[in-house]
Amino acid sequence: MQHLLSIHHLEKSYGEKRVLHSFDLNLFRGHIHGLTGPNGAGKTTLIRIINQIYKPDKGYVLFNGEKLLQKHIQQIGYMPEERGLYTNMCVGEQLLYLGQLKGMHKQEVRKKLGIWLECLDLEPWRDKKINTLSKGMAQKVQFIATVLHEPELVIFDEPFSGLDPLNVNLIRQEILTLKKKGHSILLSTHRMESAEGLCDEISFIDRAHKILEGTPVSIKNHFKEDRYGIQIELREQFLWEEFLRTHSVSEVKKHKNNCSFKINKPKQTSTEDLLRSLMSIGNIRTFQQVVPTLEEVFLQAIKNSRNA
Amino acid sequence: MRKTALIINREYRTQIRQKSFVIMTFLAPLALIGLATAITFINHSVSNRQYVAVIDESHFISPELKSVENFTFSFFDSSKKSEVKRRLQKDINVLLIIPQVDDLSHLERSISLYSYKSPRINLLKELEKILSQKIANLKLKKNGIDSDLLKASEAHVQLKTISLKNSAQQIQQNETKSLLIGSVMYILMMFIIIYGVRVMRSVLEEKNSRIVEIIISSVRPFQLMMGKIIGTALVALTQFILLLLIFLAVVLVFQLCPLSLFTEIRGPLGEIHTFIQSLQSIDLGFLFGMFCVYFIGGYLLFSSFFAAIGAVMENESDTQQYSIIGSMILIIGFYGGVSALDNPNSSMVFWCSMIPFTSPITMLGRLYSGVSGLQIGSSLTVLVLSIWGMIALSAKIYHIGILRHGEKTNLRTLKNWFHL
Repeated sequence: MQHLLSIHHLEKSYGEKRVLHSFDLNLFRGHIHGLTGPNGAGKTTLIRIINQIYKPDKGYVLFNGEKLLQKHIQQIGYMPEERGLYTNMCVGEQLLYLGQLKGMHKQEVRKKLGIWLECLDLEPWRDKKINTLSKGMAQKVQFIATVLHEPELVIFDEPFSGLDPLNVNLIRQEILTLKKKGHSILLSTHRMESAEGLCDEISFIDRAHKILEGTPVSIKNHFKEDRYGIQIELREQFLWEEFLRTHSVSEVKKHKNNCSFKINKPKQTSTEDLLRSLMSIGNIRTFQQVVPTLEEVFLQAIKNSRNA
Repeated sequence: MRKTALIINREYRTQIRQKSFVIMTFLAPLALIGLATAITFINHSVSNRQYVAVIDESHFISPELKSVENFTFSFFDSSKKSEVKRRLQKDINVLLIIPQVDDLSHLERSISLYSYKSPRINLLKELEKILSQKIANLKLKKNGIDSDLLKASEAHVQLKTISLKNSAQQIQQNETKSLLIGSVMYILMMFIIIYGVRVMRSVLEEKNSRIVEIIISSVRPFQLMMGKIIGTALVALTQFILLLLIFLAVVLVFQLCPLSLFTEIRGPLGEIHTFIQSLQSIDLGFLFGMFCVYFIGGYLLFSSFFAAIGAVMENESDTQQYSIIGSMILIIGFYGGVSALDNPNSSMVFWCSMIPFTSPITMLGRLYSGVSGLQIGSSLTVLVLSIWGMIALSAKIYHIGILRHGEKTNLRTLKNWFHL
């Protein structure tokens, strides 16, 4: 599958401070790629380089296989984290201006604007000034401004911040619709649950470096340990006590004979041996390998990277 | 180019629609004209004639005092002093008592003025002037000198100034020209300050509303800055042309009305008419052209500086100190221009008309003093080069500054920005 965006060995420093170091990233056509990392990791700088606001010190960006140029700006839509609109301009007038700045013709903007305003329930607000809109509505206006020119690449920086659950769901659905239509999306977010549900691939950035990349499933599998969650109905109390003494068990919850706990399986012990030991102390109800959440993986990856 | 035109268009339309533009363009001149007219009519509706009762115990002055335009003198005997004092609240404004003296020289400090209320300062000064003149005449007469003969021998010399450098063309340095050029320089200075600061506020507004990142992901920051500067310049030129049209309409009204109407209404209206009549001797087209050239030059230089300041600062109160610095420099240029009206070739005036920050205003002051084309050309060349340098510098600062929030900017951080 061809990459829409390929970033190669990108380097960027602000004076003495290095913000991106030998950074590589590939965004597949029609995929959603999550970009996550702590504040100051280099995400916004990377996005600004893709938007040609900043120039890299070294490395290069390929868009559709071509070196990124000014002409590609029209094929990129960007919704920054720090959102703003001209407060004294009307919704329609503002979107007309922003659409034209992206290279659209007036008639073309007017035509598509009606569809989008209808879709996001903003048609009655077309002639209202931005300062009369609620925060959620203003955010919808910004969403329209980002996608109005139907860009091949859409970049969202924290698209859900400040939105109520209803609007989070609405924007989420719109992002998925964009993906279905074949748009490629770069999504920078701190919300791991959003990244997990939406993204096809995720890159973790910390201190100017990309520390991890892959699909959510592959990343989680990579970080999963020999740790199991078990529910058991105990038969022999003394055997249970012996089991506790000889194994690394945690998060024990016991009610009469019913017991749940987590166990780190020793490397020298096979899963069959562990199951046999458990069967000797009671009847196993559930036996499930514990898969870490993305948030846990994220914290672990940062810890590993900083200790390395 | 199309995107820059879009930015210019938005900037222009937004500013033209603002209430402040309508007020500054239409209501302010109307208010000024209304005020001037009201003052004139109030002055003329109130009678200025003063009734002065005179008791001349010396008998020196009274034969010399004759009622003039603003003063009606009535003479009374010293026995009627109490009666006159009673009339002070009614039909007499002031009472002048000239005591009996042996020598004229003692008279100067012996005359008293009585009034019920404090007399007007102008009245006091005029009476002092009349009495001083009368006493002086009496002194001359006493010494055998004819005052009429002395007055006839007075001479008032007026020099015609001719420049040999300018093909012996006569340089018309009259009051009208100085007044007009002084006004044009003042308007130029005010326009550069007002519209330069407006660019700064507009940049700051975009920066603080956070829309700037969306805009510069569609256009280059340089295009945005230039669009803003050019859009605002067009607003300024629109306002100037509208003000000029209002001025020309007033001129037309004054020219269509017969002179006799204005001579009947003495005072400011008559003076305005005379001023407008004398404007015909000045090449207004040339002056307008040079105003536009120097306005655009000065405005581009200062507004790009102000745009950079707006991009660096966080709020409007932080920008005030820089507005003051810009205004101070322009005021120096204005004073250079005022000096040029008096002494157009002094070294201070020359350098002010060459240094790009002051030249747009000062050079206007030198235009009608026979300044050579070479000097105008040099001043414009330096100005254009400085504009180029200032725009390049400001564009760099603007590019980085508009995306910076919550950090104090100093020279060190500015230096780092140049590495971005």
